[in-house]
Amino acid sequence: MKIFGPKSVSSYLFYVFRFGAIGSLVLALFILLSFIIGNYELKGGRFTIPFPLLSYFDIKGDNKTSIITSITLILIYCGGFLYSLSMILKSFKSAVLFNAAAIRHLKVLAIINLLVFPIVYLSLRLIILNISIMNGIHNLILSLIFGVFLLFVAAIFKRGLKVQSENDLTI
Amino acid sequence: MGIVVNLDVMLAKRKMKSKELAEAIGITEANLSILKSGKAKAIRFSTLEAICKELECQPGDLLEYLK
Repeated sequence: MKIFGPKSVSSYLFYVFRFGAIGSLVLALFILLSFIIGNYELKGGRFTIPFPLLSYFDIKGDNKTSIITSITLILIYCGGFLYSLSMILKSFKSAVLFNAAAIRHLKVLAIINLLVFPIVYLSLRLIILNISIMNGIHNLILSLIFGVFLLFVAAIFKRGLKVQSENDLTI
Repeated sequence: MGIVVNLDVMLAKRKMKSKELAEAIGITEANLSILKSGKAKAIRFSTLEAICKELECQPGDLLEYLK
């Protein structure tokens, strides 16, 4: 099976990640709206948000501002991350692998991993939840490694684009 | 200026159209146009040989270095 191009693994994964991104953002919006319009139940200091169509599925958690904020923030971050990932896969769908869009989206995902994730992680741990940053520090390290790796991949793609354009102009 | 491609001059001398040359040497008109306009980054020896054979000329007739 093809990895790049139309009707390839990239093409199918694009839909998976785009669906995940939309799902995360819709879920975050649903939680926020539920609290705004009062679509939740309180029992023993815990909230329960029922799903409109899936009666057997609901969202439960401690009724604390910090918990609600952290859930929403994580869902928004996941939505942004998956959307950025889907944009990279979208650029891999095109017939020409090395293209400017792929480089741009790789750099965006690198910035998300190198800057946005540490900000979200540290603000969640230190400000919102007020807990130690050491418990789960591996997530931060993995994100930084992934971000640096993406920068290298973006640089490789930039070189590939140059070689490809020179090759295209060799008659 | 650098390397200048005088393909259009040679085509005019031989009274040949770009389309005819492209068909004769087996490249697309679009690629021949890139070569004529000087946008090409490189030219293959096989392409140069085919053009020289078809236009009955030397590589120096097609390529010129200008300061």
